Amino acid sequence: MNISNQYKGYVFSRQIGGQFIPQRVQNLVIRNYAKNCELSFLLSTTEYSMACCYMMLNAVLEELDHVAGLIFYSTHLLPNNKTQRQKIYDVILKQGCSLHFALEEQAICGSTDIHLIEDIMLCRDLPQAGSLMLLEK
Amino acid sequence: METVNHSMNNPFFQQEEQKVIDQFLAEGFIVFPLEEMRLIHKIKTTVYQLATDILSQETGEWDYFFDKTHELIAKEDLNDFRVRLIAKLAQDKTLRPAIHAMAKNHLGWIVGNELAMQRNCNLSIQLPQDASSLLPLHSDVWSGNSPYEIVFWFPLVSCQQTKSMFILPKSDSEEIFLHLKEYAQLTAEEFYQAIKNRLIWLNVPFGSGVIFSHSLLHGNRINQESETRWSFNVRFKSALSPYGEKEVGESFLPITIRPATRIGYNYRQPDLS
Repeated sequence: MNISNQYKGYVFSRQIGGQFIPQRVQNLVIRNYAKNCELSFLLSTTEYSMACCYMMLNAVLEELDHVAGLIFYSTHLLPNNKTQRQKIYDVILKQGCSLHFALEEQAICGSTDIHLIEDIMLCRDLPQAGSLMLLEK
Repeated sequence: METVNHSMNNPFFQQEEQKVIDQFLAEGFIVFPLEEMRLIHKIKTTVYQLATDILSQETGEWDYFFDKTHELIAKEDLNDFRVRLIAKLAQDKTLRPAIHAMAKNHLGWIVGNELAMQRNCNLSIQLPQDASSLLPLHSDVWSGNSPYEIVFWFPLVSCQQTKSMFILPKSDSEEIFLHLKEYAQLTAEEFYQAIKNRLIWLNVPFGSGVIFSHSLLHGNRINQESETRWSFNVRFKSALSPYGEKEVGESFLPITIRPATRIGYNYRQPDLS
């Protein structure tokens, strides 16, 4: 269980939903969200630019005892792989932390909050999935 | 927008459903009695209570308050009032479900039963003779909205003539779109003047709502009537149809994903390798 009240940001250096969003803009959105929600914002970690790379996120997940939670710029920063996403939710909730998404103004503070985030992912994935096989494990 | 004869007679549709579908396909909009009258009264009561809290003054009975808002709020104060009211309404977690429930069947018939709903419910307040919150003739799709979206528009007061909104029916909109090059150099006002005789001003009594395709040309003008207009508009779309610039998560949230879709989404073939 963490004792911090600070939230760490998480931004991308690669494309987000098919677009490059300047990191400064990503951080502005996170900072604004944190301010509106009265969350204390710690600086952001920037993910490496290689496709499907989550090394920086994995490093952050190992240091959750120093923060109250994470603020992603967007749900778009979650892995496409559902199993990987579930692991992230599990690790964060098990540590007593919360996971926020600044652009969507949504948060996972408990397991029941996962449904809406997964429904958002579903609505993004299914229209593009031509067959069952296109959905990753 | 391609002109297509959408007329269909589907034995899977019930009579009322078929009638609504036919009308929507022909006109691009429908005006209908709200399905839950108690909910429009509840929403109106909530708006009245929040508004009077913000104004901190005697506002009279609610019919007076809504019809005569222009006697209580100066034009220069309207935007600040509206922004504060919308912020308070956004805290009410029952508002979006109530709005959906007032048109649930009609949305199901026109859009489907797995829906995404706009996150923010837009509130419009149009004081008489006020030009500060006008929406010139436009199609939302031209500015990035998905053509798969519809708008559910409902007033808190009875609306007619310039107190209401106008729309160009589907066949006329399609004809204009075919010849849009002829209009492309016009200002918004010149464009309006060129087609104003073909526009329909919607007559929407309190207790009724409108569902329209926002691909159709629509808008409003200065309210020349003697009463203030109060109306909500919220966009809906099929959760799984293509999104435009207003994306899922950011602008829309899925509200009625069905269990079979969830199971299908989570299904993975067993790995025998």
